[in-house]
Amino acid sequence: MGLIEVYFGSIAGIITMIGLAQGYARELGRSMIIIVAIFLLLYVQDRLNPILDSVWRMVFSAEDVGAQQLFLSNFYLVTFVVIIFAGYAGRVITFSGQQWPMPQGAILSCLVGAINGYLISGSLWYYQHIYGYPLANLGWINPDLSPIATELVRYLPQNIMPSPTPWVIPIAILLLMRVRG
Amino acid sequence: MSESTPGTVAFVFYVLLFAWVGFRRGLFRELLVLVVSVGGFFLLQQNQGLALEIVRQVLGIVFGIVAVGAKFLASLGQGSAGGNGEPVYTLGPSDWLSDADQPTVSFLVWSGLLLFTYLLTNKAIPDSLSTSGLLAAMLGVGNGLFYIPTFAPRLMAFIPEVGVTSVSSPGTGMEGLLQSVTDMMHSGFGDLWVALGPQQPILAAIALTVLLVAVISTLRRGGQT
Repeated sequence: MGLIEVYFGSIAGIITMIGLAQGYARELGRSMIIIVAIFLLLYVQDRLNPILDSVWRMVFSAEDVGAQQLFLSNFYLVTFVVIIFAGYAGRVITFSGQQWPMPQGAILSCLVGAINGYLISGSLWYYQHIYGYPLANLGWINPDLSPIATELVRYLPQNIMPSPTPWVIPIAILLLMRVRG
Repeated sequence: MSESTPGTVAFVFYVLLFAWVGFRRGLFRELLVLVVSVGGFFLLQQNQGLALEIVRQVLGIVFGIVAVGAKFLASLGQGSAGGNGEPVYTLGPSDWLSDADQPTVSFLVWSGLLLFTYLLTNKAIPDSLSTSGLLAAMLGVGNGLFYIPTFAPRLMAFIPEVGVTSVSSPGTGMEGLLQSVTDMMHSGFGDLWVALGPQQPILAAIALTVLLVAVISTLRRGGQT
């Protein structure tokens, strides 16, 4: 098991590469979906957690805090991944127009891919962090944070914007720009 | 007002200045400068010996021409084209530049290269190819941020008794530069970020939006992807 920042950094790197391959016109639509997913999960989190907690107690009748944390983190992780997968696999909102040619176009694709990579891997890391890295119980990740990882946790998307409200700003502006055409 | 406020304000002015330069010069020009400044810096750091040798060779040619010219002029003064056979100029580039001068020579070569790139891109790239915009301004800021850890520690020698501790002393090689960049980012953006206080989330959202809108604005109208 490597360092956790390498683990999530690799995910961000792969998504950046996908962005480079796909082009930034497509990636911008995916950025919107990712931001919407982050907004939705932040919005429902406080409301949904008591319900999920009740479901957990009803189904498993157990007081195992570790397993409960694993259940909660996996719920958000799977929901987030499903939304993102739908964004990448299905039809996405596209912005009209032609991309810039090389090399500027490739750099912009890399930039937007990197933003998407940061948002996705940062969100996955966040849902591990707030539930105490329950995947470590399965031996999948190393819960011991290095000094760099401890510093990076402060800059996860949901830690920078913990309230769902600010996330509405990019969603609204991007939607307006899409409608304007 | 905290002790770091003047530094933060100076940093903001510095960033705005380079944003303005980037906006005026356009994206393509700034991109070329970024490639040359960052790429050139790391290449020269890794090949300081080679840079010194090239400079010596070039100076050797220049000194050779000067020596021949001086000899010729001296011979004219004495009235015979062949001269008296005494060398007029005997100091070679190796006497000027010892191996200990490698870092200085590399830095001077890099600075010259950077200046030349700025001038060349201004002249050779038409405005139509280098569009102004937010992204150009951002690249300008990127260039400006790269110059802080490369120039600032060297400028400190000219400002005695200054209590600047945010920028490290000139680092050796890549590690030193990365340390300087980290220090600079931490002291510059860190202080600015702390100063924003409870407005941090909103401003982060605005920054993300501006970045995405800037990219969207580059999509050219009249076509579909």
